[in-house]
Amino acid sequence: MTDLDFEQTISAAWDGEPVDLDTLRSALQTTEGRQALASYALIRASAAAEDIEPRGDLAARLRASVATPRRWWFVAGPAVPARLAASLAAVGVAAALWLGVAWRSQVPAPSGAAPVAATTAGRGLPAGASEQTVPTSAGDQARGSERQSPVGSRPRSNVLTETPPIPTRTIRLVEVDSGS
Amino acid sequence: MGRIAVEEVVTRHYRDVYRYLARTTGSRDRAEDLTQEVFLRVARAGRNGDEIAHERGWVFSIARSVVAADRRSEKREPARSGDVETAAGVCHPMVIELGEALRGLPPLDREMLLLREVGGLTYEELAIACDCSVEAVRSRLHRTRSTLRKVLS
Repeated sequence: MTDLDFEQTISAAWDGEPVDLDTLRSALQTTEGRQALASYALIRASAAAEDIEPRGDLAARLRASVATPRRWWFVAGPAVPARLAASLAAVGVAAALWLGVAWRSQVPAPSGAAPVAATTAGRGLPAGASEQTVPTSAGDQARGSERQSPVGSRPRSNVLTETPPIPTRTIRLVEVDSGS
Repeated sequence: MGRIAVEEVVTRHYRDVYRYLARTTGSRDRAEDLTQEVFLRVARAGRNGDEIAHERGWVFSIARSVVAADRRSEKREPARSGDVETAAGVCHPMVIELGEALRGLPPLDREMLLLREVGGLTYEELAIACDCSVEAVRSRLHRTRSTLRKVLS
């Protein structure tokens, strides 16, 4: 055994690590070994001499900083959030389908010809009758007022003109010439 | 130890981690900040559900990396022993001498000795904290102590 082995054994024993007892005994029988042990004790004492204690509230502050409330999905595990997301998606799709059907039933079906009301019950017009159409919807009235504004003047602001076009109904007024 | 209970880890190790960081940085305030950083990282690992085999070594390996990151960001020098304000306010000359001797050591030797003497880590925990073998810990500690013996005598 060399001094190096002795010192290493004393160092490990000083740290509480398992060592060969015969080697330790031999090491401590040498002057060099005992001096080494004394030095290690001094080093430890010097390292521990500084009284470095944390402030009283450090532990509480540390616990507070790490103790974030546990979210339920961490507790429940990954399966539950996945199932919940799938359920929500299914409900969302069903709701969208239902809303779509309901909306379609409320919107009038588009037609090629506007509905017409005639003052006469008959289909045909009498001879000599002149035909005049009058606006019956808000959109028609707004367009009519625009046409009547003077040339070059700014068209009157009318909220109704900004409304989307509404299917109009036209009433045909029939003037019947009584003389004929 | 399985999944970690963060508050229990704090209770078990905050004092030693703080002491180690105070000795390493030389500042109580800095040590408190870094201790908080260490345990925030521990908490993050806890939320991730990480499995930890050797708790103490693992916590101190985090402490080492926090110190290293702090040095990189601030270009700090390792503190001298005796730089930390003590309760008595005055350091024994031998403590100052030890601090000077520690400054002359290679970084890993110095860290390992502080982890052993201040943090109280076993060789196995040191091996985890310093990412080396137990035999390397044994020989490095012995070498460091021999160097300090020569310097201090």
